[in-house]
Amino acid sequence: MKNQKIIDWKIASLANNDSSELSEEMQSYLKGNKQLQEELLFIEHFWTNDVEPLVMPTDKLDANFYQMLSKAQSAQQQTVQQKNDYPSTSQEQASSLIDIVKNWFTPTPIAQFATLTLVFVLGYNLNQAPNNEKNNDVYSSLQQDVSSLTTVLAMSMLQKDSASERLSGVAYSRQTDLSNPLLVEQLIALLARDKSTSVRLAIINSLGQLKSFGSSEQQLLTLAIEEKNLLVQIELCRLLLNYGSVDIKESLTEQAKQKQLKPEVREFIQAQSMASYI
Amino acid sequence: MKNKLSVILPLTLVAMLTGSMQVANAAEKNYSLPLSKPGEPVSIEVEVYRGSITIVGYKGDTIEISAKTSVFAGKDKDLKKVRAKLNKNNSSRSTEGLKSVKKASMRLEIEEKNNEVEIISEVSNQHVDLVIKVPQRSLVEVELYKGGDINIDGISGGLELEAYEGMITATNISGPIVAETVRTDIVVSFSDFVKTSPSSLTSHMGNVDITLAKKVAANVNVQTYQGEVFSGLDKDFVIVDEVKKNKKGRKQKVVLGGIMQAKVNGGGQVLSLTSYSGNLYIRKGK
Repeated sequence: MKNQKIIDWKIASLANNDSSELSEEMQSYLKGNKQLQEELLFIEHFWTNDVEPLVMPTDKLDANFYQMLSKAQSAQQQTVQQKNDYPSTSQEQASSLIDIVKNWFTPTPIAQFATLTLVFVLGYNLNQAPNNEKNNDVYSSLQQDVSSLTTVLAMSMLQKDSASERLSGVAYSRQTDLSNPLLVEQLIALLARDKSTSVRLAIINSLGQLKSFGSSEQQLLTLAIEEKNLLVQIELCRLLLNYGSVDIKESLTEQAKQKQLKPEVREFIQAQSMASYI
Repeated sequence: MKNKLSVILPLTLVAMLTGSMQVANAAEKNYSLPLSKPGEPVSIEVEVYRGSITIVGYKGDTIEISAKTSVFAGKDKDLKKVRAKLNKNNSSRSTEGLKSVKKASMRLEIEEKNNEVEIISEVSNQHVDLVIKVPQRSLVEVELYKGGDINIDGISGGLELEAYEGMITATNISGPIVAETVRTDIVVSFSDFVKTSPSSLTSHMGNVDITLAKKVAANVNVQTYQGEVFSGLDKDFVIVDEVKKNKKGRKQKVVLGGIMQAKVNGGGQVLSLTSYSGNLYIRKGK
């Protein structure tokens, strides 16, 4: 848990959203954890360097990766076999790990590189810790790391000049289940100002994953009311009508009744409201 | 030596093409721009206020630019506003004994640095037709405000295209592509489809028409509000989201404008087609 807090702090400080220092307790924890220090260095390096999307891992790196992957998988299987009392849970974990690895593998060479590093750490840790409980701790910690690195990747891509890369950033953000509030904040900020309708529509689509919009809900409502782009405005209304709180839905319906929105948007809201009564 | 070279090689070239041909208000100029790092990745950014842009990929390693300009003589509300503002500040002078000299100069800025090429024409009363040959691998970014169309052919790198009044046509490409028009159509023919990044084609009020080569594997997402979707694919489109539960826990589907998806050849990277009032056409190519 401390690892995750420190990684989140690092991401926040890199994104210039948090200038606070680590607490003394965390600092001393970090001092004694060389692996975490390396991880933070990696994140910092990843963030500050302009990532070239065409960088491919070398053959040697590739070979090492597959070796590590194989070790990690066999170590994981061993854990599953030894925990016969809870076979389904372990199998789910194993398959979800492979799914995560597979998902990481397809999209871009950047993701390949990040996955490579993670699986290296995974293999290293499993080799170092034969104890099952320790393995499980390491495994869940690595799952968090995967999510953290995907978050870093997404946040980095969202800042790119190219609309295509920002679209990739939105796609990566979908893989993180949007648990990092900074990422959600960045997505909403981009939604408000991005030049590309494609990027904005993709963000709205991603935000549908959120369990609750929380404090962002009012901001999304303001965006929906003031938006000039018809496609974006309709999709924002759809997002709020489908996943927003009752109050927000009522506010939006009231706006439509008072004819303060474009006719096409009013028509859409009316149709959506009728559909929800069916 | 290496340092010296690295200073010389990242050549910054600013070419101001000023044709002084006074023939029927039109000027034509060809320009060949060598790349400072031949064989390496190339990015091309073209921004034209009024005109048309054609970009063709070829196997060479220089940028070949053909530009034809003429003075814009048509009606333009925006231009009228600017002129009115300018005329307000300039009192007219006597022209007695003087004859009018027609302007026929070309203003086009071309800049190259480390294989990043920028071609810009921001003059509002100039119509420029550009034909540019670029290496096939180039990343191409084009923005055209008024006038004609954007035409792209044979580019294997990424494409970002934006046309406010004209059409966008791209043939023999493999993406990723992000393209947007307001009232006009987007027509794209994919010879292949890369897995690196998602692609998205958005026309607010125009049609989106794509052709996918047989080998293309993709998750094709379609979304239109007042238009229709026509598909020649073997795979059916199915609703992928917008399924929500009502208070009693029964599921209900909201199909108005919802995203539908077809997994072509087992699926792959996402290709989104969106329009508010235009139709979406998905064709199967060879």
